[in-house]
Amino acid sequence: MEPLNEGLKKVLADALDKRRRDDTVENAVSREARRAGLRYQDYLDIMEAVRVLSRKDKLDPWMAAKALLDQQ
Amino acid sequence: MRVYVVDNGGQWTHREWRVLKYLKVETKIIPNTTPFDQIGQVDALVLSGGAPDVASEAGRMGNNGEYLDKADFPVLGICAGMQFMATHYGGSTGPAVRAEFGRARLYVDQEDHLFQGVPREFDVWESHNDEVKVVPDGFEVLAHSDTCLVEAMRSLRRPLYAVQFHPEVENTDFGMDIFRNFLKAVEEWNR
Repeated sequence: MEPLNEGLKKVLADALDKRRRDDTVENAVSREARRAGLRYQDYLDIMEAVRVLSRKDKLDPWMAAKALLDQQ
Repeated sequence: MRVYVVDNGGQWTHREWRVLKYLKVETKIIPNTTPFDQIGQVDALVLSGGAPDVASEAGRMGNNGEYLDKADFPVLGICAGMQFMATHYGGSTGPAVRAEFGRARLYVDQEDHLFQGVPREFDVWESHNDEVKVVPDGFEVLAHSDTCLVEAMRSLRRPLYAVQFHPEVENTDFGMDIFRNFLKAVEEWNR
């Protein structure tokens, strides 16, 4: 899977940073993606990267999101 | 037609499967941890009810978010499935004005696909402590009860439907018709 570009990484970082109580990763990422003016496909690309890592390393989605940023 | 039931841990998931089988649909129950790309070719999904408080226990809803993101086919959310759909698209849920357990009177506001050919008022079976409080943008409310304002909704942009009550239970009047209507919507979508 292609690494996320800088724009998508920033959205993911903002999602982690501005996470609300009870947010799913999808909720947080979609909110930050909308704020950044990204397209729906960008949201799907970010979530695909998170989900792939979550399954591969058996991580909770939030942990996978953090690990993805640490990796890239 | 192939319609799978995603098991979110509800007590009537098996009945959802039974109704679909009775309606001669190829169906099976799949765990909600199934990755989307392992579901295979389906014409629709039913997101079953479940015990999770979707506001604070969304993790127990497994991959429902991925299914909603990637499905290019109709999806029907039931009870917790509906509440998850609402929160996934930016709405919210919270404690019900009055928790509904047992029979409740449903009032149909919009016939749309789900309520074609059924009366404007009829009794349904409920089992929920929480309810949808804020309907997500792009969704319209199809029905309400005496205390719950959002008993059914649908997306105006995609073939996503959701009901708070349990059409799969015999005590819901016209429950079978609601499933039939959903399957008709699936057929139309695939034409």
